[in-house]
Amino acid sequence: MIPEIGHYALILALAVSLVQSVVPLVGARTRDPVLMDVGTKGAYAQFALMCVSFGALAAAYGQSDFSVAAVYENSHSMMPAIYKFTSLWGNHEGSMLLWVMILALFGALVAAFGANVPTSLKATVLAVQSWIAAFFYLFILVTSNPFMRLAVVPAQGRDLNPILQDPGLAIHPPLLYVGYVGFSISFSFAVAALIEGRIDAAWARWVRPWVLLAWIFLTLGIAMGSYWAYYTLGWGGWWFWDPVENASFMPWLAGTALLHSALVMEKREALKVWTILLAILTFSLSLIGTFIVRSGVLTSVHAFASDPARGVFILVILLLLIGGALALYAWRAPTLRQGGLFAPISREGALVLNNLLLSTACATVFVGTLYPLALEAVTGAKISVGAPFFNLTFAPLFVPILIATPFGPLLAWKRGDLAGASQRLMFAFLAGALGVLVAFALQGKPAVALAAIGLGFYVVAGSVAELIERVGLFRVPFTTAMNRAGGLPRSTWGTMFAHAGLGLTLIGIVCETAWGLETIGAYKPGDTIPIGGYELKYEGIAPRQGPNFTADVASFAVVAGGARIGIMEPSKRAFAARGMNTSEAALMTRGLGQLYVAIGDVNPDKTTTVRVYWKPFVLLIWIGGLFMAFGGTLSLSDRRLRVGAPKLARNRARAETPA
Amino acid sequence: MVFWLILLGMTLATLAFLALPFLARARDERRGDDVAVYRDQLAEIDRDLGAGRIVAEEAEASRIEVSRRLLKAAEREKEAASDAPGVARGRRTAAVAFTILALPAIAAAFYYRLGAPWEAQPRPAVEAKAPAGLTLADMIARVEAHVRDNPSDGRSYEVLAPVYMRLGRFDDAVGAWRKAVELLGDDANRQAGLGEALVGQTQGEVTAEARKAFEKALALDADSVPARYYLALAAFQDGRREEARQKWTGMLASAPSDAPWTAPVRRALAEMDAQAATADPAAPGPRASDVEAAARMDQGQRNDFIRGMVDRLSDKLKQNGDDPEGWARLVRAYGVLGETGKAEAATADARKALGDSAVKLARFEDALKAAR
Repeated sequence: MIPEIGHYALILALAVSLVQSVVPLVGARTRDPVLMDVGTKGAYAQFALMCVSFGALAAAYGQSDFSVAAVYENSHSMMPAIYKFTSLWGNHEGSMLLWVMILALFGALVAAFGANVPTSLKATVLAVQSWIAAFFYLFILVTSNPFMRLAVVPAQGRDLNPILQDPGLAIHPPLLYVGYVGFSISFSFAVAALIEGRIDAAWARWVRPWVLLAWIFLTLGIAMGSYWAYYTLGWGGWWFWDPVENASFMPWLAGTALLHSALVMEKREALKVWTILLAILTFSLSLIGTFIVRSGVLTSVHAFASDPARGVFILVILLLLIGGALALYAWRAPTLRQGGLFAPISREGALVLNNLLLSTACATVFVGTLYPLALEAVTGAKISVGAPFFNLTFAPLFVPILIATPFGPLLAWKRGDLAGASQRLMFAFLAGALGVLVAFALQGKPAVALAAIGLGFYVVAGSVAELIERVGLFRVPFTTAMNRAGGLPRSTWGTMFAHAGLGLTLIGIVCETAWGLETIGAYKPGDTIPIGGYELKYEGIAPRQGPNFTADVASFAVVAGGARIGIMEPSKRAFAARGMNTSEAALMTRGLGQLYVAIGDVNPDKTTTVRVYWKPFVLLIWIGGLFMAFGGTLSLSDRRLRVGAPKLARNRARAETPA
Repeated sequence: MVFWLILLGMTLATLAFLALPFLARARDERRGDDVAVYRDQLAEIDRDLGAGRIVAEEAEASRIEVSRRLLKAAEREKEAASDAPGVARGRRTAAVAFTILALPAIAAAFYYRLGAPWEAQPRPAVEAKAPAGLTLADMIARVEAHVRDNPSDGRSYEVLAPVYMRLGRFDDAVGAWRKAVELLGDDANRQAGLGEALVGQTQGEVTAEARKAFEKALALDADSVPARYYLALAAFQDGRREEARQKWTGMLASAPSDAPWTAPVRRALAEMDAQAATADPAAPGPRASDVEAAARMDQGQRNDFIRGMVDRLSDKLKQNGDDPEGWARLVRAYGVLGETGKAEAATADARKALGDSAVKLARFEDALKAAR
């Protein structure tokens, strides 16, 4: 009975979304508060119904109810409870349900926390949000229904793809989806603003928290996914430039640009037209990402052609939503009045540069991801655009972004002082030079890596520069500076953390790629593998029994400086239900670096293929991501309003007047 | 009944919730507007000035900019207020009617099309009271659980494998027979079982791998019926019809009179003869008659003939690419015709078509290797 109730709740949510797509819009156009309020109520109702629906499916997984086709296909009664739950979204049907669940959640959040938004704008936003929801409810019900039942109930399920039976999967997709779907709000706000025909500084303020929220989760989701790939795929890579990753990276780049351009719009009412376009494009990229991942075009364009129902449906949704929004934009945007003026060298100018570079980078990834698909569809030739393409095109675009990053916050609005900013960044330049020297002393080469390390140090130090400047550290008494630091808007701290995170990630990437060590060989028990000052003693391999798999666990004693510091146990797991094997790498964290051991097959001569990596400072890659997300959170908690054109007060006398 | 009441309850609750705004007394409250935002922005300037974060001239400039926005917003507000807020009764009635009618209608229509309400009833008691309370599926699940706990118990695999065969789960059967061989050692019965499972996997084609298994079985037990039968079939599928005929008739000659397996052998013989007479277009490989015909042609004719066959095969694979051995044959045929470009393209197509299944991909590569 429970799955049927869940199924009906989903259908009812579709019905509500259709009502909510129309009534509040009529209300907003005719200024009827009662009709507009239907938007709020509908958003709550959709969320409640989706909770019922999602809960019902979760219950079906929890009870291993194999009469539900999706449960049979993706679960197993012997799986640990946590994976029973996560297998809900470890497959197409369930993950789409999670997608709309989060969409409904955001609708309800706007309904609940959108009290500061004018009623008619809010009603229109909720109606637009409901269009998106209606499309996706329909998509799920018609092509990927997770509540389909089996006439004959199997006794046992087919198990979840073993590679997905991992704690990383438990959190990665929900985080990513909150990010993806969160951008639907800025999309709805943009479309609503175009319908309402009023776009001003206040709009940017209303939409900013939603962009930030989505961006934070997307950042965490990408970092999480990268770490998951790093330790499950078994060869220590943390970014593959594969289309699924790019699908999440493109909205992130566009979202980052949006975050910055919305800032300009909020403060100076400039860049309005561009910001609206970015808001539309960011969510469009999320949708395209969903299309790429969910339609099956990735496995093969032909697979897509042979079972086109899903792909074509998403394609139609794409065309209607993106096409519709862009058409509306083309029609309405020319009527927008441009806002405040600014000189090229100014905070606004820096943010425009940031936007230019980020959107070019995003376009690069877009081409690299979609070109092979398009080519395959047209000519049938299968090419792969791999890391070399992205490294060649992406890196040159990101270097200027990184160089410009510390300058942005130091330039004043309207008209900035580049020389002054450079002067204040002097110590960041010094930090960069110091970084190069230290890296040179420790490693010597390659030159590119040394330069990149310097850049990383410069970005981290530069991100602190604004803070030092604003509190007047080293120029005013220490206690005054501390007091001022406490009084700074949280968003200033947020900027600092996010920008520093960028530098930290860069340092991590450079250290890992340039100075990581790698040993691959066939070893017998008793052999010792030396790597980067550590010695791994292979002690043997033994079978072990897991809940729904058997494992061959190898054991390595790690010795550093003559002392035994621990045991690493990489393993190979065999999952009977699917006849699949996975490799579980073992990780040992030493400082910010990691030892990484993965085993391959046991050879006939009793040796085992072992891959050992020493990855110095590799954790910085993800710590940088956490810094960015933390910065975003600080900025999100800054509820105060900031206004155009305040230049940093350099007048010491004035600065010391008590608040 | 309870189930339908629950659905009805959900529908009514949703409707009631959506209709709430219509019942409430109309309050024309304007929450949150841009005027408030700009007032806040002005206050912020004062705060910044007080804290010494901006200087007086800058504060003044900002104040002018924000005040301009504030004035504009306030003006707009006034205009909006003079536009009489539309409280047209007719429109509201229409909206309520739309909501109350559309919502249940949409929900009912979709659930009627997609739902499985019969699944909501408690399952008929039959299953629960089945003799000994066990279905075949349950039994399999039990043995599978047992195997999981005792992965080195070869006997269980030997029990499971024939059951998998009967259920058509050939992949599982192959795995189980392999495990049985691995744990219990070679045995004519196990090797023959493995061979049969492999044949099942390829929908009746005796691959090189299957043939190896049957040959092992025959070496262990010269009387192994399945081994003899399938090796004859292999000969037939390779176009060696006389050899196949000899093997099958040999089986019949040595059969005890009450052997149950003579019928399928006779049928196979009859089929072979029938096929020689009327070519069966559904046969997977080049048919024996075709091959014989090809042998009589000169080189040019033969190439045309092969090309015709290759085109047929290629069309078939384009429609249904799920056939590793077929792909291998196609690649081989292009090789024979000297069309290396097409052979490479076919290899790429095959990998693409089979890319979803590592097992099938491996079978394709094996078949390709075997052909070289």
